[in-house]
Amino acid sequence: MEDKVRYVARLARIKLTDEEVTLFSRQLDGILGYVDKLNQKLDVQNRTLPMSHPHEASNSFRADEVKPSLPPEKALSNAPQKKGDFFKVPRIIEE
Amino acid sequence: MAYEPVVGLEVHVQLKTVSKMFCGCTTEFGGAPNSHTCPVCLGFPGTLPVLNRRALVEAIRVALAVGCKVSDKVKFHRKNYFYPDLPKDYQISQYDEPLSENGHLKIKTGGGEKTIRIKRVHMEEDAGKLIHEEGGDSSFVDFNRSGMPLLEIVSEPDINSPEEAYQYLTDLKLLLRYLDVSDCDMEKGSLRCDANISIRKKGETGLGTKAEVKNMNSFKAVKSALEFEFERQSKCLETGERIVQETRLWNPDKGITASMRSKEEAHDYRYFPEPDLVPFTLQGDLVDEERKNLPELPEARKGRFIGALGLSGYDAEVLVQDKATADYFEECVKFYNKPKIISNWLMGDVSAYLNSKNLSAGDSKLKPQGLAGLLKEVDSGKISGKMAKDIIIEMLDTGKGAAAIISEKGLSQISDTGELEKFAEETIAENAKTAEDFLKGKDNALMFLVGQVMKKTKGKANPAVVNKILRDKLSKK
Amino acid sequence: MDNLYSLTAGELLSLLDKKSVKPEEIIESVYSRAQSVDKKIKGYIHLDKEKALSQAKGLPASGRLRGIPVAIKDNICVEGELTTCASKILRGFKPPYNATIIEKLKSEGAVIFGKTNMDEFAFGSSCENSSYFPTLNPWDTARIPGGSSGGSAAVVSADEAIMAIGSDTGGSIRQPASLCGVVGMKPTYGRVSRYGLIAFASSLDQIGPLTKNVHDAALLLGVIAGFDSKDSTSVNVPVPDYLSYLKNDVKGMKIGIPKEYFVAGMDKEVEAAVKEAIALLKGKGAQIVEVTLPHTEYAVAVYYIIATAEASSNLARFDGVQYGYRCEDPANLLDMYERTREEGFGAEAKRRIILGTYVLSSGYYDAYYLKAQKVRTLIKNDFEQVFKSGCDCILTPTSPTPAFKVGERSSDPLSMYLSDIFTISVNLAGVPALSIPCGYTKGGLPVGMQLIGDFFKEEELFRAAYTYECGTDWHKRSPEL
Repeated sequence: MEDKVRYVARLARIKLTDEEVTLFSRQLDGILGYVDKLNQKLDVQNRTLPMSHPHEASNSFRADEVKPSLPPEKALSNAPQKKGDFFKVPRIIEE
Repeated sequence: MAYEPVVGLEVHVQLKTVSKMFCGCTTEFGGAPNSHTCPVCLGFPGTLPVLNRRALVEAIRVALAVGCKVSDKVKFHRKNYFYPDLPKDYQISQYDEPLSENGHLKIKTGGGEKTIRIKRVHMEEDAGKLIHEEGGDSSFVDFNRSGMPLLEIVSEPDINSPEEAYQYLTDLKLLLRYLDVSDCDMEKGSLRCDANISIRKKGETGLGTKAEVKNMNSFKAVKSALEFEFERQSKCLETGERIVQETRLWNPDKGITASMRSKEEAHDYRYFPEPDLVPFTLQGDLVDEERKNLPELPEARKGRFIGALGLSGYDAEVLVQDKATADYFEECVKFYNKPKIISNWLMGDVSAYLNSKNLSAGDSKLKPQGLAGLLKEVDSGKISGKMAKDIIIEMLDTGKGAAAIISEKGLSQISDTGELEKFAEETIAENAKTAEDFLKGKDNALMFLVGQVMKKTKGKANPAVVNKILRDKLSKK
Repeated sequence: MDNLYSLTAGELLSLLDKKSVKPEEIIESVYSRAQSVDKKIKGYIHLDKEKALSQAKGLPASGRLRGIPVAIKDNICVEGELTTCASKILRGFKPPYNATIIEKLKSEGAVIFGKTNMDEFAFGSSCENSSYFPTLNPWDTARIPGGSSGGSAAVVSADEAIMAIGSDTGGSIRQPASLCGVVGMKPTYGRVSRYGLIAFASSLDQIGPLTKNVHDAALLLGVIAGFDSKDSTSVNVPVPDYLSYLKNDVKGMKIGIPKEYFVAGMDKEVEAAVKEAIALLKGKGAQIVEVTLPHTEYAVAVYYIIATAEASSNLARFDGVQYGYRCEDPANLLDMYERTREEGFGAEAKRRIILGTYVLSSGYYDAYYLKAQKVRTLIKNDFEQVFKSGCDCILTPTSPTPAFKVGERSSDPLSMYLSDIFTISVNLAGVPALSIPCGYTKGGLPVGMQLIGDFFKEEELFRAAYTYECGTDWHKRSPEL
């Protein structure tokens, strides 16, 4: 479980301390053990459709019309770091 | 040992809507950084996507045009991964139930026509753009492109040479242009292509380990990158080196592909149904309606040009290759019903001029009706074909009508036989010896006399008429 | 006039109508009440009297809530105002836009009055998971107010707000309403626009009212409900005039009592209070029938798979790029992501993101997520069966226990998750439900009961709740502070 927690924490981009890994592993074991009753006690028919949403009916479309954008200074007003009208992040190495 | 490449192409096309896929920001190219953004395409918390109907309709048109089966259900998934150009750190895309599947595109190859199967055509949203600081330690993000509507067109690995890949892209682009759903401009990024390539011994049917090649910004680059990869993988097999599954970047300056060495972790995108967009059933008539509204596609048009308009296969092919030229041609035929002559002019003087100015037929100052007018003047004998060649340049330059230019410059050809007979008699009298030569059987002598009459009329005489008059007069001698 | 703060919105509106009070006086009264009691309760995160007063100056000429201050849970975006989900990762965030419900409230003349505390990102049932401070129960400040809309429930209960807005993903309006002795409603999924509600689990979240009585809940829902073109998941069903359903009459109404909700081990005082309430409604002419919701026991498991999976994706955007917190001096991009999220999220948020990422990860999707989605279908079918059989609503306890002590469950996530055992199924099915006070324990803690209705039948719940309220005076009690 600890390896799995480390793998998942990396996917989720959250750094965990060793203590947190141990704690979360124990807690997740408990929660997953509880959740596993779905698999142990309940035999779900294959024909039961998975439900991703309470209503599966009509979608509301949007007409293809241009609406005003934010002024860049407003778009960037919450940015932790910016340069000019760009959001700034640590350099990304692509090669 | 003879190998052949096995190639599948993933083409991303930016759809031609005026607003983004899930918000009302403009899709206009360029603009100051982050000036075409709003809380939705910036991924601000609490915002929600609402699907642009036009984007869906255009996607359906493409799917139908490549013969895909369009699903009756529209369902989006989230593809989860972290990257600074991805504002929500997931991309709204389609996964196990794409908009459409199982189509094909017929391409022309050296050995005739070949069918490339298309696996799927699905919708997704585009990411923003990253700019890397030269020598610095920062990168910068511009979200203007974030949320642009994209179509991903995935082929099966049916392509077996770099040339076929090039042809597939050319034909696909032509189709998209005909559908008027995308600008297909690789330089502006409205068409992008990644290639999966593996190789195998000729005659075998299995698939080898593939490399994914990215970063090609022209069809030629795709061809060159595939040529390089084919060579590289062939050498690997010959020397017993293992081919690894990896992503490789095309380096246009060096003309090579190179492995992306970044410690990319195994992809685990955790796709799941996008809960912010309710899956919905496409109303039956929407797809049928679009099917009815599909324009005539290049293949059909070419057939019609040959069959109904009597063009040669070559001419039809050339005209159809550029939708604007083909449209121009058809418009012109409406005013002047001699398709072959129009096609000669279009493919000759007109396209030479337009190419030199880097213009499309649609942008030409010379309109189809104007070209038809000019050709009618030639037919009526008012001007010679040679004069028309000069006049057309001025028409292309200025957009003036043929009649206006002819009268402005007094270019009208003299076909009035009375006037010409006078000139002919003068000429025969002045050149008695030459006239005699002609009567003795020297045909060339007549040409000289025609030339003299032309000179007298400052080139405005209709040479055919002059020729006839001279013959008549001399034969009566 | 004294004690304006202790009145309901309905009472204040009639005073405003008669011009016996001014909106500014109401704001002053509620604000000074908050000044005096919120030190003990800690229900508000952000509260600015001047901003409230300045809104009172620019009110529309008329409106269903004209001059009424409404407290807003901190996960709902108010343009230019701090909106942080009680999380460090959103410290300082001021959205450049309003949630749709904020626009609706303002257009009806409501005054946006402060942001209330909550469990971080609505992850919790006790309001202890706030990155600011825990909120305490006005009836006993050694106890939790419930969560995650604990701040909204507590400020209404303590008369520091006339009415409040909360959000409910698995019980986050109803459970704190029950524990604080106020009325709280989770509307039908799609009834109220989610645009501007910072998502926890998109397919479960709904915004709803927390109020002092049933009338105010009907009034407030009437204002915020309705289709929104900015939210594809909102549904275009006309909004009835809920106030016209407030009739003291349940004759012929068929109320289902699910046997799965009255099980051994539940708190005796809660059980007794709810059974008395059933008897009262029966006395008023309702027909009481036993019904079954057979997949109830799986609801918590299904919920913690679906809700955490959606949350893990919804919370990915908090990465330190466009807004919110960013760690100091990141060594590179990966370091920026990992430390920003390590430092910005609290323990429960991390736990849920990790659980949600786990159930979606390669190799586990089918066993957990897909399976949970299928059982979700079964749970929805259970409710549909009951309503098809002719029931107008279903009555259950809201919470298996009254308010528990601060710290009692915070070290055991599973026991905390089980606090929502009676409220979670409703979100999975998407149906509406309301919690209303139905008694007090010997120790003086409020007990709530839950009324669950069919899709888009909120009015039936208001009618049943109003009739019940007319027969009791629980809603008139206030905590001593």
